[in-house]
Amino acid sequence: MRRLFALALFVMAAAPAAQAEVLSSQFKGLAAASREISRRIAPGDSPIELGKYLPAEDLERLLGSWAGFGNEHNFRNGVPNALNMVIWHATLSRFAAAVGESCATPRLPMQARFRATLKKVCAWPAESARDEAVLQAFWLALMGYQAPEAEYAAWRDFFRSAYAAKPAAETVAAMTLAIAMNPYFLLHQ
Amino acid sequence: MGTAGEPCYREMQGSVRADGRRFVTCGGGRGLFGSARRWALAAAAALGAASASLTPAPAQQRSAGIEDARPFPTANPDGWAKRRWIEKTARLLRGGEGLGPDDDVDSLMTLPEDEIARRFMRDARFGDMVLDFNLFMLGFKPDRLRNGSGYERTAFDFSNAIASAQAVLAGGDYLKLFDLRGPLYLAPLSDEPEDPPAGADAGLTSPQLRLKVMAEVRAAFAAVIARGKGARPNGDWYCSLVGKFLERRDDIASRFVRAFNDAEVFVFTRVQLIQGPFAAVASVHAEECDGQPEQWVEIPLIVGALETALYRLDRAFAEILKHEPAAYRPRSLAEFRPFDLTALIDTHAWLAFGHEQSIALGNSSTNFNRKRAAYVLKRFFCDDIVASPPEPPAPARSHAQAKAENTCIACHAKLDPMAGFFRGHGAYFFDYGRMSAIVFDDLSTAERTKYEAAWRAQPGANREWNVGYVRSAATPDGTAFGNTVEDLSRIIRAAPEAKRCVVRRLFEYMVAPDQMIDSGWLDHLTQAFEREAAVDSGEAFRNAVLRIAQSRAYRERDLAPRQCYDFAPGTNPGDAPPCRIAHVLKKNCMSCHDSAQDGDGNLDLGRWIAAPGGRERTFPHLDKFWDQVRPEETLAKIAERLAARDPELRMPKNRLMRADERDELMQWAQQELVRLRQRGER
Repeated sequence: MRRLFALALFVMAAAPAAQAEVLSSQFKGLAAASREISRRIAPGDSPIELGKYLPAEDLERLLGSWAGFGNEHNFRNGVPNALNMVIWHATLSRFAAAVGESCATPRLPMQARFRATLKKVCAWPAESARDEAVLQAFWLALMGYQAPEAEYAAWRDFFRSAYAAKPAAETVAAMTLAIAMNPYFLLHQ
Repeated sequence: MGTAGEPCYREMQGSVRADGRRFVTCGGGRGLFGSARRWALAAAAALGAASASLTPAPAQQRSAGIEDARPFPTANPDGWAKRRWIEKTARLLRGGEGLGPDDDVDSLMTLPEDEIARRFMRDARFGDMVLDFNLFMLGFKPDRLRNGSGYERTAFDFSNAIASAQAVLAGGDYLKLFDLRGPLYLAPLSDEPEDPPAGADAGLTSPQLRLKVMAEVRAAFAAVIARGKGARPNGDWYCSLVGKFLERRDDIASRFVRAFNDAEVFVFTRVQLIQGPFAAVASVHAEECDGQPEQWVEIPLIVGALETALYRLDRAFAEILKHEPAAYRPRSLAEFRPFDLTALIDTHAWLAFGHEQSIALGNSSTNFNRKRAAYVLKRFFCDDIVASPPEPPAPARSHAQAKAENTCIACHAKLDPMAGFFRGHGAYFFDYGRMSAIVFDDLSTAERTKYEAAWRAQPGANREWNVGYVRSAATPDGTAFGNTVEDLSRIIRAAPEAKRCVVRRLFEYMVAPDQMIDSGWLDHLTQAFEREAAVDSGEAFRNAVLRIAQSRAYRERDLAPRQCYDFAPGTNPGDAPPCRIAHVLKKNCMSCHDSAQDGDGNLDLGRWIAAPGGRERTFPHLDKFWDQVRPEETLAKIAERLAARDPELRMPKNRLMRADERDELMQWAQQELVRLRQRGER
């Protein structure tokens, strides 16, 4: 795991020099990601603030931010780099773990509809949890329609195979992390 | 190698998808992906796949109960695309709130796109989008407008942004965005003053402390008033008493503000909440007490002035207290309430620049408001003179003049007259217009008449001030002169450049800030916006949103930033030069260079044909033997003529060309030249 992660970071860090002409995709930022997740899975009066899962205080601005004071605001730190990917990963891992742990005890505010969807996925690895409609509902609950359908298919197939025998909490956490770390979720669109 | 953009969760060779197609083969490495998003995808893939095994996916069975609740038909890719458009549009038009469980997406799917967008625009949250966009346009977009059920303080900072957004909701005038004087929107008062209550204030809540400081001010006035009532006191004695009271005004004001935070103190200072009533009393005091014999002092007049001041303070305090969070916590933009400025002594309209803008756009005794001028040009006219210096006046004949032109005049010819609109505004945009001195943000002071002389017009100029919006130093006929901030608002409202700027920023906001937009299409959108705004600017704004939401660029998932996706009607992009320069050429060059046979220089800048050899495309351009000129030579000639200082050579000949357009064309020509040379070397 560590070696793969290091490799990914190395590859990302090398990217900007080679791709300077096409660097338009930037992170949407933690605030926007929080709003989207909240709207999809949290009750209206209890939004989910992803900032609470940051590994340390005051890191939000490193994940792409308009915030500033005393100057005109420009979107800063939106280009993916080794550092902000580590922070995103740490933050979303904690969030994903909370979703996974919610199979046993709710760890975050959830709308009734998402709770019902989660409950079905939490039956993993039972056959009912591997159902197309269950997986699709879980994917859409977190990702919405931002990603192409092929992204969903790849995600579904991966978990049906690689996590076929894994326990529910671990699988749901990994599913959540895979969705949340997907560029179609992370990047401004 | 896999295809860029295909999903890739782990290394797989020859896997088969559920739909029967071959699954992407991803071997990792640089050649696989084409942009930063792909690198991020690689990271996600690597992280997600870290503990993966190679177990093949077993066949799946579906449970009937869930099948009925499927949120979308998987076999219909068009349906997925439309749902994506609906979700993206919902997120955009509802202030970041996309589709949720309470949205009936299936019902929306049956509607045409424009009807869906208009539904979202009828939602109260559309106001948040307009406000957020306005702040983006004005350069102060926040990460979030809301915090839980309320709004962040920064949402209240730019009053014209609020007034404009409210107008759109109410079917009013969106172009209030250009009104730099208007209502004041005071944010709900803070629960935390800048410094925590200490000493005798310790333990008080913010609302309690506010009541206390207001009572202190009232008591100070009441004590002086009481001494002037009843039996007539000695005039000299009472003048002295009131004089000492007036000397305490700074102390009283500084004790008052301890109950408020910096942003609130900024507002109260600018509207002269405490100082204004004191000034009114001071005026009467000076009239009655300076050099008058004791018996001639009209004590009732002084007492009356004090009572009037106290009455005005009471009105202002009451208005402030209406903004206590317990009484005022707007849940939507429509509920934002303007501060009743009639409660103040003589603040009839609020200058739009709020607390943060006043800090960001500070001035000094030496910069003569040029920072503020550059801001207005950039934000309201999309004329960024820092990124793209403007064209200088017509070339001078002497070396010294030419040097000055190159280094200074080009920018200052635009900046200085614009800066003059703010000549009376010192630190924090405070209006020193009626004072003899002006204080700047660097705390230096200048005599106002001397300072303002920098903008005074020469005798015979038929105007008092050299203040205005200079479109081009090279052609001063296009300058719109003015005097006050109100004049500036009027000029912005009337300027087609400002409306074009709104449309351009709207595209950047809805699609991507660095996305190339075809100038012809931008003009097409702008013309529609201008036409409609002449009747109803709120509707014009909504229509502009709708047009962009239905564009190709808005729908595209993986945008190439230097590519145009939308063109004006009737344009065939394949037959024209690249979009980033086609419109520039059409606007500035093609009236002369319109034919290789008959056009000037035997050059046709309107067509884009295969170059000799067929590898490249170029403009039709014939040499003296009527042979097609090589692309490198054509490009080199274009770059040379664009950069020439000699008016006989400089293109476009005897015509004005916008600086950003010249810059864009020059950049493109140089980049193409480099590319062709590199290709030639290979």
